[in-house]
Parts: sequence; C-alpha cells; structure tokens
Amino acid sequence: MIELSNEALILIFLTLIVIYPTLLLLVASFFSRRERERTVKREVRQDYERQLKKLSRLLKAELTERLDQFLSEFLAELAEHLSQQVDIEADVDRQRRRIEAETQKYAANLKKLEEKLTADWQKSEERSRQTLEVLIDEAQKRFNQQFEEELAAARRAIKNYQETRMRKIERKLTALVEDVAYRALKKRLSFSDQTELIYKALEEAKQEGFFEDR
Amino acid sequence: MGSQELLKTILADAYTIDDFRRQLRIRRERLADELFRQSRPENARDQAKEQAWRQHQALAAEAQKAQGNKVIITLAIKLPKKEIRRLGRWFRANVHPQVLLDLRVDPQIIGGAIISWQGIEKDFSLRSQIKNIVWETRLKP
Repeated sequence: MIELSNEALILIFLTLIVIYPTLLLLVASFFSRRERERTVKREVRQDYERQLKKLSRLLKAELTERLDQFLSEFLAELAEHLSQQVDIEADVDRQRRRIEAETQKYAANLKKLEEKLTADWQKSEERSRQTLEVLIDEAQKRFNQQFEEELAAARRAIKNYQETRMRKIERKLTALVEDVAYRALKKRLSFSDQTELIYKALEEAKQEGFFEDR
Repeated sequence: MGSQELLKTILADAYTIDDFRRQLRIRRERLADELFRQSRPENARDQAKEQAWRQHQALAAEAQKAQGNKVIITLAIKLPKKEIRRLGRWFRANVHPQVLLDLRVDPQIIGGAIISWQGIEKDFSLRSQIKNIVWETRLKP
C-alpha cells in the first residue's frame, strides 16, 4: 500500500475542500441546467401542443370553411347541371315530340304525295298511252304512206329499169337484126333489086304526098 | 340564047347537082371566053361583051334558083349514069321539072332511099322497114 505524507494528505484535503464546492456547484449546476432543460422542454412541448392545437383548430376551421364552400359550389353546380339536364331533357322531349309530329306530318305528306304521284302517274300513263297510240297510228300511217310511196318509186324504178333494159335490148336487137339483114341482103340483093327498092321507096313517098309543096 | 333556054339546055343533060355545077362551070368559062375574046371588030366588041355579061349574070341567078330545087337522096349503092338519068327523069316527071339530085351513098341503109326535100327528111330505106318490124314486134315489159 501506498503511503502518503501528511503534506500530501493535507494538500489533498485542501484540494478536496476546494474541489468539493466546485463539484457541488457543478452538480448543482448540472441538475439545475437539467431542470431548466426539462422545464424548457416542457414549456416548448406545451407551447408546441398549444400551437399544434391552435393550428389544428385553424386548419380544421379552414378546411371546414373550404369544404363548405366546395360543397356549396358543388351543390350549386350540381343543381345547375341538374337544372340544365332537366332543361335538356325537356328540350329533348320537345324535340322528340316535334320530330314525331314532323314525322307523322311527313308521313302524311308522303302518303298524299304518293297518292298524288300515283294518280298523276296513272293520268300520265293514260295520256302517254293515248299519245303513244296516236303516235303509233300516225307512224303506221306515215310508214304505210312512205311504204306505198317507196313501193311505187321502186315499181317506177323497176319499170324504168325494165324499159331502159328493154330499150337497150331492143336497140341491140334492132342493131343485130339490121346487121344480120345487112349482111344477108347485101350479098343477095342484085342491082335490079336495089333499083326496084329505090323506085318502090320513091312511089311510097309520092303516095304519102312527101313531094307536095309545103 | 336566053338564060332560061341556057338553063334548060344545061338541065336537059344534068340531073345531079354535081353535073349541073360542072355544066354551069363549062358555060361560064365559055361566056368568059366570049367576054374577053379579042378577035371581034372594035365596034362589036363592047356589044358582045355586054351581052355575054348579061347572060352570065342571068345564068348565075337561074342557077341559084335551080339549086333551090335540090333533092337529097341517100341510096345503098352507087348508081351508074344511066340509072341516074332515069332517076332524074322520074323526079322531073313526078316532083319538079327543074329538080336536081344530090346523091349520097350509105350501104348501111341496105336498100331503098332516104329522101330529103325542102328541108324535110324521111327514111324510106329497107333498114327503116326492118326497124319498124322490130319495133312492132318489140318485147313487152
């Protein structure tokens, strides 16, 4: 074990005497501070709680007010919408009734128009039939007339053609007969025959009065 | 000789228009010789010239008149002079005493004659008779 001198002990004692109050002070200070802190904390907490309560009240009030306002606006708007919807429904109903009325009117008009058209069509058909009959009759007459004219023209053309052909044939036949007669008689007619024919022609002319004064 | 007598003399020997013109030309040449002959005495020359000139003029007038009595005859053959004289005599006996023949030949008429007198022509040929026969027996359409 350590042995301490008196002086040391005294010094320690003195030191302790000096340190003890300090320590006491420190401890006291420590506790005091601690107490103060607690107090401050409590106060702060209380203040916080108060503030919080206040803020809660304020927030609640604000929220309540806003909610009321929103609800009232919403309700007003809803009421307005409902009112508008009612108006629209009423309008739609009116329009529907009007459309139904118009449809009925249109159907009635359509029926009338159909009846009128049917009647007109029947009249027109009758008129057309009559006109067509007249036209057919006229066309038939014209056709018959034209046919008769064309037939007559064709007959005339055929007759003309026949006559022309006959004239041509006759001319050819005459020329042929003349040629044959010429060839046959040229060799067979003697001089006395020729003179006889000449005087016969002269006598014929005389008998006809060809040489009489004109 | 007067112009009438001279014309008769010419016509007595000329039956066709060609013969007549030939005879006329000969007579005119004789008259021209008479007109320009120099062998006559001076005093008789003018008188003879004048007479020849008058005869020449009168003959020309008669010849013109005679040629108006022309008959154109177309025959199938050419006739000899003897037959022409016969034909001329027939015409002068039956048609006109101063008629002149204008003879033409067309073998196509076969026989008979085509006669043209005073501007009118008529066919009395055999060809015409054949044509008439063909026409009368023509085909009917």
